[in-house]
Amino acid sequence: MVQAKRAFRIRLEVLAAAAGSLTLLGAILAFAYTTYQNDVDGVPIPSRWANASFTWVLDNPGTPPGNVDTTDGTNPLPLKTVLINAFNSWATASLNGMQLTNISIANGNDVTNLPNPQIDCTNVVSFNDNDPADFPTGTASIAFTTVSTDYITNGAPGTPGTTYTFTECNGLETITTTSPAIVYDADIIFNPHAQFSTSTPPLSNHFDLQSVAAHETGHALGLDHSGVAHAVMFPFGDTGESQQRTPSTDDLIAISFLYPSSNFASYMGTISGQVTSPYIGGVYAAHVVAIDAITGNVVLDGLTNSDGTYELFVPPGSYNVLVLPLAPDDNHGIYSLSDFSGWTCGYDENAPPCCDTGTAQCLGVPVTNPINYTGKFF
Amino acid sequence: MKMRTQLFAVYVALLWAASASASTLLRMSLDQLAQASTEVVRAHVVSQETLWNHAHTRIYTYTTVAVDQTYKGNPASTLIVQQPGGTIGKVHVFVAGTIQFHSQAGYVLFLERSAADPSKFLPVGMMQGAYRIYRDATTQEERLILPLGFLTHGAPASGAASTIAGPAVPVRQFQREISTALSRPLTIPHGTAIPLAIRSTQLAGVRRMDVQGRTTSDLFPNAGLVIPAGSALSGMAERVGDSWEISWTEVSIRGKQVLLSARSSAPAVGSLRGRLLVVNVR
Repeated sequence: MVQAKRAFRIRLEVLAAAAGSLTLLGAILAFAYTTYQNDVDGVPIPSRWANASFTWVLDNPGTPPGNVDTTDGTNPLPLKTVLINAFNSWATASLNGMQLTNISIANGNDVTNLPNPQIDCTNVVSFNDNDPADFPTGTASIAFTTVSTDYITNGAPGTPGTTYTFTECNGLETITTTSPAIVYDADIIFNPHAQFSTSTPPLSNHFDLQSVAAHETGHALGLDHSGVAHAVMFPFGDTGESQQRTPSTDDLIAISFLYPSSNFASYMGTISGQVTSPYIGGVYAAHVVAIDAITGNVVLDGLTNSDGTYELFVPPGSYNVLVLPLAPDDNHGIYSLSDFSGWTCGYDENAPPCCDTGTAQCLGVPVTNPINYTGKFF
Repeated sequence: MKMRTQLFAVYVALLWAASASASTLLRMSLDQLAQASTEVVRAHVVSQETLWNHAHTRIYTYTTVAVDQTYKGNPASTLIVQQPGGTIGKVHVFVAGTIQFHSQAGYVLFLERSAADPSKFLPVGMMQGAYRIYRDATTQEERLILPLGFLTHGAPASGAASTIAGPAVPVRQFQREISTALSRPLTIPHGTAIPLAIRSTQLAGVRRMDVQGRTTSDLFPNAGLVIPAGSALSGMAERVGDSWEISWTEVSIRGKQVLLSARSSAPAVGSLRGRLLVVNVR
């Protein structure tokens, strides 16, 4: 199978498993799936948890957080159960019946008042942050996650499989891994002034704790925001809503890209191409969206590499590829999806469908032919 | 540990890493952004540095911006915008949802003066509070890029027309919209439930007291209104039998006085001060 770089005006149908059974494990996707990336000698490398293993603890001051309602509504769950469910939504989710993700997640003993939380390698979930600098009033910030990363600084990444050693956790722990860039600490902080519910459905005027937790745990595992409006990793939620409890296809592919199971390589196909402009050639950080040509649903998105190329892992199917409006700039470039407005079609009652059922025309350009990724895996 | 970082060299990756990105946000309208801000300015980026906090528990990035135009508030000529995350040495702390400031770039910023350190400003709604300005290469018109979350809704197209209209608006148009938002009278919708704590009382006659309260959580009653936690309410309490009947008449939202019609009741046992109430707007 030939790996081709094509302008994005190509027609490509992604075939089923057999067509995608090559070296698909990971890839250097400069911004696709918007992971936390570090520059390793000029190569953007996604940061991963070493050995696909993650343990979190609850910052428990001895009393339940007063802003989490675990008693009212329908089938309210205990706080820790909701958090475990949120983490498990990533670890156990499957796509079309396939388990594509391989990450081990555990819950450790509760902690209190850690002295150096951002670099102590203890991954804390807290409801006790009363620093007004973190949650100013009236600013609608419900929760955030700090993700501490490190990467090798002694040259380019080695060949895939190379072992790297990091000293982290205030110098107390040595981490050995095959990833040249790692996440070694992640802390999730819920706004103590926001009201959360563990009921199903969530109480009105309360945020669904599991949805918010699923989003934040995605960050903790290494995912940045998605531009797909229905994805768990889309940065906006509202009270009374719970649809972000369950990872979307975009989310699942993203987490599987970071922590692939053996199924990931054999199951997934790849759409690749290049976004070009007549003025500058390859366009850096263009927002590329794949739309299911049958259902008309947005499946996933990503950003192009510095030369405008992109590779998107997709499950078997037919897709339309759409390049969303690029944020024009005057020499400052575009660096992340935070520079985009976000975009949707089909999923929102206010959004028109991605495909016109009358004409069978969809947004974007249909693509054909399978292209299998044969690049390096770090 | 302290490292001053002149981030605005060409090294893109450093800028990317140092400017951290919250996470789960409630979408704010322009009216809400304008109301929640103590300062709304057009400014350009001057410098940036990343520091540990005093307790050495958190990393924050401080971006200094020079104010070019003021739409709300009374800011100094330069402001320091504080955000969580950043890079110090080998410690790279990402926080999704923070603003990734670009070197020398112009922005329209919606800011709140920090309660913890009044010399610093916090973006309202995190990345929602920053609109980057660019100059359209064709028309030379200044335009703004709307932050992530201002969804563009696509319409079916075919063929090569796969790039839909951009989510950018002219700066002049946006300035008018800000002015409109700032001048729009505020109305608290009927049925709004406002949780508050009574902070002070003062006798105002026989069986009557003036009462002052503060809201205890952020409220977003509708797309055009935000009542930040800590907003002051004032009212009159009247003793009726064994309870205080309180008529709330005004709330101050970021210095703007808004008339209110709401009642609440509290048992006349002990002091009203410190009582937690929920006020329902009529």
